[in-house]
Amino acid sequence: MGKKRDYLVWSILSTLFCCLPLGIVAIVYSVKANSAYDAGNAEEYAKAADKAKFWTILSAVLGFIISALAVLVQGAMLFALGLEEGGPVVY
Amino acid sequence: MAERFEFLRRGLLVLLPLVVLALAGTALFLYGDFFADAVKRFSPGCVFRKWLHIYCPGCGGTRAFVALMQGEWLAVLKYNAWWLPTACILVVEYIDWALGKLFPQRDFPLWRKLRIKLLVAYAAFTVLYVIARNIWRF
Repeated sequence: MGKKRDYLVWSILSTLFCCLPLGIVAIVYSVKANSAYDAGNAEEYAKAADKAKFWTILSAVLGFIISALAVLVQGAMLFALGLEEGGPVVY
Repeated sequence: MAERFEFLRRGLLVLLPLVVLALAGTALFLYGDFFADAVKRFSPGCVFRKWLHIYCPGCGGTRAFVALMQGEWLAVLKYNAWWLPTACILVVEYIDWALGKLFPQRDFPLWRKLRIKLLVAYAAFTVLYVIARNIWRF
C-alpha cells in the first residue's frame, strides 16, 4: 500500500490555530484514512488521505487569509477611531 | 556497529520533541504571567465567533491558555474542553511516531488497534463537542 500519509496532526493544528470549523472535516477524514490503512483497504485509504490533505490545506489557507483580513479591518477601524478623536493611534 | 549507530541516531531524533516540549514547559512555568499578558494583549480573538457566531473547537483556547498560566485548572476545562483530548491524541501520535522510528520492522497489533479506537473516539468527541457548543453556546 506504500508509505502512510498521515494528516491527523496537521489537521488538529489547522483546527486549533486557524479557528476554522473546516478543520473538523480534515480530522474526520484523517481518522478515516488511518482506519482504512490499518484495515488494509488501499482504495478507501487513498481517497480519505487525499480528502484529509485537501481539507487541511483549505482550512489552513482560508484561516490565514481570513485572520489576516480581520487584523487589517480591526487595525483600520482602530486607526479611523483614533483619527476621529483627534490624534494618531499609538500601538 | 553501523546498526547501533543508526538506532542511536533515531533515538536522539525521538527525544528531540521531548526536549523541545520540556524547554517550552519550563519557559511557560517560569514566565507564565508574561506569556498570559502577551497572549491577552495581542490575540485578535476568533473571527468566526465574532462575525459568523460559529463556535469552533478552538474557541476559548486563548482564555484557556491564560487560565493555564495562572494555574486555574478547572477554568481551563470550562473555557475549552477540547484541549485535554487533543493533548492526549497528540501524545498517542507521538508514541506511534516514536515506535515507527525506533522499531521500523516490528508490528504492534494491540497498539495499532488501541490507537485506531482512540482516534475514532477523538473524532466523534470533536464533532459532538462542536455541535453541542453551537446549540448550547458555551
